[in-house]
Amino acid sequence: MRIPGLGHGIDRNRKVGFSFNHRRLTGFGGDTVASALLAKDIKLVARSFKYHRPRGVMALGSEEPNALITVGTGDAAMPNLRATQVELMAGLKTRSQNAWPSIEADFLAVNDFVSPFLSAGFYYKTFMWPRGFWEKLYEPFIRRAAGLGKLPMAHDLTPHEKAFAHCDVLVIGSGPTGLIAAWAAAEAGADVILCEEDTMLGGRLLHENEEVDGTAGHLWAADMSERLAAMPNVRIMTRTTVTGAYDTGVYGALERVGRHVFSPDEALPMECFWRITARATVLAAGALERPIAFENNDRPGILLSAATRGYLHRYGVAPGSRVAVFGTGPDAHRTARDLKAAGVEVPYLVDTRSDAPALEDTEVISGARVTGTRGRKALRSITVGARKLEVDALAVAGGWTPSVHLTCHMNHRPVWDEGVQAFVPAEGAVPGMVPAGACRGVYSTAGCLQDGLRAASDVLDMVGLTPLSLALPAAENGAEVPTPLWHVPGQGRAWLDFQNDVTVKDVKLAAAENYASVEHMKRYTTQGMAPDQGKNSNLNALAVLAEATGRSIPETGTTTFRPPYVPVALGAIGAGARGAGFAPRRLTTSDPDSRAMGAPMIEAGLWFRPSYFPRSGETHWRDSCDREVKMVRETVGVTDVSTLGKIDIQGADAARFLDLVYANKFSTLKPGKARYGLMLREDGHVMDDGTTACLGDGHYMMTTTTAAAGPVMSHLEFVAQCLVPDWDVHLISATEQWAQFAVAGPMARAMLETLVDDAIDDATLPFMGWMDVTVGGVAGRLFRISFSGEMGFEIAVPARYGASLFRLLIAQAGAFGGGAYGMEALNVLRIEKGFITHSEIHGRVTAFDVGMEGMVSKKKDCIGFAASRREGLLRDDRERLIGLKPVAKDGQLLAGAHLFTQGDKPIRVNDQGYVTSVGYSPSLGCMIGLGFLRSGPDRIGERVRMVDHLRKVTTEVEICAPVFLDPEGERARG
Amino acid sequence: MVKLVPQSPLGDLDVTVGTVRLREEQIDSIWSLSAGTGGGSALSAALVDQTGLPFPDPGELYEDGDVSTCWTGPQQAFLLGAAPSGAVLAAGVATPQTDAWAVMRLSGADSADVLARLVAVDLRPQRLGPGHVARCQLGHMACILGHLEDGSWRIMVFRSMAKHAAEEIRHAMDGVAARAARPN
Amino acid sequence: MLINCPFCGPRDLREFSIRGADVALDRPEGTEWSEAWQDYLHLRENPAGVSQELWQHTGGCGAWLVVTRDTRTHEIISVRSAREAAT
Repeated sequence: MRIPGLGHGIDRNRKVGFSFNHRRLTGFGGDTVASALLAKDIKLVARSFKYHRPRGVMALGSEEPNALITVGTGDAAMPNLRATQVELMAGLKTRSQNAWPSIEADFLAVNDFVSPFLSAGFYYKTFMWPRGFWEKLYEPFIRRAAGLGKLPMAHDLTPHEKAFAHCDVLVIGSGPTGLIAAWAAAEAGADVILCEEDTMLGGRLLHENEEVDGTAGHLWAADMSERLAAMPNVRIMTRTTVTGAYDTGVYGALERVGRHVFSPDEALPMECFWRITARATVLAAGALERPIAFENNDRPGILLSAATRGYLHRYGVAPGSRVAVFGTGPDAHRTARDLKAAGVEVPYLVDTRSDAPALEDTEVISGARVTGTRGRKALRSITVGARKLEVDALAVAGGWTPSVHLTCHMNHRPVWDEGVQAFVPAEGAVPGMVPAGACRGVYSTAGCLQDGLRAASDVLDMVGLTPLSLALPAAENGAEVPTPLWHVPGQGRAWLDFQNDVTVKDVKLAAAENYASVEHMKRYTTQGMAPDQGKNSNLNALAVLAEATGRSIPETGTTTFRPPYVPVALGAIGAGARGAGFAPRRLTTSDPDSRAMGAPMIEAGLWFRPSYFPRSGETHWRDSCDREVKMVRETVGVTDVSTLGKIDIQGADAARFLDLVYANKFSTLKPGKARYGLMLREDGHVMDDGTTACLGDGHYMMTTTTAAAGPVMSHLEFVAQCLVPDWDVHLISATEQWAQFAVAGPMARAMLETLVDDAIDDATLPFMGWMDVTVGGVAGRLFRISFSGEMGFEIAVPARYGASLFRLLIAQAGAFGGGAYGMEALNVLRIEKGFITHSEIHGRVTAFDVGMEGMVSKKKDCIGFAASRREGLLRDDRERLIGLKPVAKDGQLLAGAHLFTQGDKPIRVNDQGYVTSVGYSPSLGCMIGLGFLRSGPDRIGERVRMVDHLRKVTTEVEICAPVFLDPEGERARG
Repeated sequence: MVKLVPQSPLGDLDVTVGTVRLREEQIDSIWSLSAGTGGGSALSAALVDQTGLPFPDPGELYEDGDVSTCWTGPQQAFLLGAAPSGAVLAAGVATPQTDAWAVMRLSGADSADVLARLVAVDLRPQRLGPGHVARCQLGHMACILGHLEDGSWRIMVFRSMAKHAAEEIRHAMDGVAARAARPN
Repeated sequence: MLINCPFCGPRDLREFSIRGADVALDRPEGTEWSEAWQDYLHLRENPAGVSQELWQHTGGCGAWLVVTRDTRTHEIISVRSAREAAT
């Protein structure tokens, strides 16, 4: 219910309509769904994960284990948001989860009544037999029953964002500790980022009735916020949860950007996932209040006491009209005091201490415990010993647990502190991070302020700045850490981990079944797992395990906390990487024209290249491909080869350098000439191939394959920088500088002569030569090289002219009866000639294997030389390159199929080799292929069986030389 | 008579979203220069003679009107807006790069916020203030990111990725503008 | 995680590629296959502790770097230019 006069965080002048489970409700601006529901006395908010127990709001912030709701509808619905964090906005649609047909009458609540069968380890024990039942019966049922919320199955189109930020000092948390630390760091001149999970700064100051510096805590926090916001070196990030701590001062943080507003702008991101790099960090993450485990402690209407105070002061909401308090010390009394001051009836305070102080108008039951509760969908009464006390809400104060989560992310375990009866951060747990305030067990406000200043001074020292002397504001001092009560012994179920439905019994059962190590207990019971990461439950569960195994808590140890601190949507982590954003698209200058010509584009690495250029009447890609192959063989074809890597190599030692990186010799290559080069890895296997042209003395242009352009560049840089650092060699990629087109076919020269301003006859430009040319006055380069076996040229112009030249080439080729050809035809053309690509040089083959052993010059050293001479790499019976033809004209060849000797069973042990490339050769009128076969070149003429077990194809094939056409190479030369 | 028509990588892109403007910049000459292992004093002297700008040290960018030099890697820099003189060519190693790059200019109040969505580098003035350059990645693309004297950013990516880069920058601009216009 | 490139300053890990132990710098002499070649190509320590590695600033300036780091803590002890380390 709403309390008049309280609620500094809400705006009573702004009414906000929303819906919960189709019920129209009204709250105020500044409310969360949780506070608005409590204000309307709606206690039943959710059903639990396993037992489908009725549950209500229990906490205030991201630690809420119960009140998980789905926000939005249809495909845009977002499950598992914590009602305690979902800000109210007009028209917000929310609903409960894990309930069918409704939250009031949930079918699977039957689980709760069969709970004796569903205790820890139940799945492991029960669903073992009979074997076949798992897949067919148990798993589908469990899948339906379990789980948190339900994802809409449509593609997530919600915009998300990722971003990077850098600072000197990151302050995590903006309670008194964080506020003062950020201020001190900023005053000293540090660049500060202050991250706060909540919508405003202040932390506990927003949720308590206490004074700082002579003014209300929340006002002091607001004042500090303004002061910080006015400083140019401070960046305040509210609604931002730091989710993980990583190496060298990198933190992950999730910012809620657009969920709390309806924006007409569709580009507004819902969330932003930040990577924040900080030179030093103050962790002021605070502490979380613990529940106490007692029988049926999970009823709607049972809240944490600190959350109760928070709802009261910030939202002006009380969880009931007759509220009992149960606790171990001063927090319980503070809660009772605050409730009563607000006019809420607090008939009972159950204090575990025997010497509990008295309270006016409240019966303080000293040395007592709540032993049970009643009220299935809302709390009706609590049991204290023999007494049944009628109340409609209960606030529980079990003591505080420091939020040490982030200090565990780099593999350090927190350490037990006897004084605060909790685990606190280990010294130096995260390099550069200084924990301060409540997250290290300093609980009083005055203590936090002081500790915040201390931490600021520590981090300023790390970033080389000098702290200024700042006056400490006056604040409440003295915090007593009462003797904790972890659980109240009893027969019924007492909840430890509310989110995972783990009870005291479950932990005891784990111990009894010898899952006595914390790690085993965690996995056996699922305590502390999943989104919640045991925020409220870890310590209580450890204590119960310690008790059950007769050890102390420090002896028992603790499990760790893993990132993320709060659940992070994959959409946020992967922001920008959806669809076309997944990888850069590299487009050639001919791309628009190729698409306009109807060419389907295929991806080649990051590049897009035309597959084939369909013409009218062609109904199948093969029609187009066959035509394009014939076109190149008979007239002239044009294709874009700009995607091949081009590396400009210069320097006094450039020739020497090429000799080192290529297996064959390049220092003999004269200006105006190009040469095919084979590049080995240091282990003697083929890395790449391509032609390199000598542009002038000490100046070369190396060509790589499209696929290996990046790796080859990196390899050359390695050789230049690491192996021959004193050689004068300069490398730079020139791939993108040039648009380059292959022009191939018997009419290639005649066609080019109509375009270039220079003579390009055989004498001027012989095979494997190159020359400067001009095309319409534009300086370019013309190479006489061939990847098709035909008379071939590659013409290069600066990329800005690429589109224009491509159009011109296509038009001219058309005039000669030719045209554009695509990757499919290019592939057939090169297979017909036995030219290898990375289908053949796939990383496991040597120069010897591809029949190029002769290219490995014995007159010089080269990368891979020594290794390539190894005996095993030169054995005749290695799998070596061969050509393949089907015996029957219409026989099918498949790349990836394996080869078997006639008569052998086609099984692995009989494997003789495999097929790497295939295509239909219009020139030969059948399919042809390249592959590797044991002792291949010695078996020319032999018939073997090609078997593809996956596609169920067996073809009798004949082994032949890997050159199907013009073996002497006269066409290219002539 | 054959005629080739030049085409810029981004077709003179010019778009403004919120406070941020992204436009294609036409630079008619870009050359890589390399001093080599022998040291760069002769090259730097020749460069100063020609342009008034020195061969930059790591991370540096110099501007004078339309001409600039910027560091692009160990012993390597780009000369933009001018072709190297004979003396520069004699003193160092040069490679034409004019057509290899798409050059964009990002300007406006929130431009650093837009970049922070795309590059992981520290953009703060103390690390990448005007007169500085970073070789880095824009998304997954190689990028030369220069901070110019007028506070705007020069973004260079490979020509083939220009369209993709412009789309990613545009997407970030949309997000940042939407955030700025977010209702309270 | 950041690596402090001697040319570019501290940069995000995503800009770097690792090649492995820095023994790759010490290419053996001679063109005959030998024990030294065998070790150079195939023999690697797998230290739980300080490891000297070759990285390249592929997403940045392209420099090859010798990175000394602790494999247990990910602490980076030093980063040097490989060209300088090799000369």
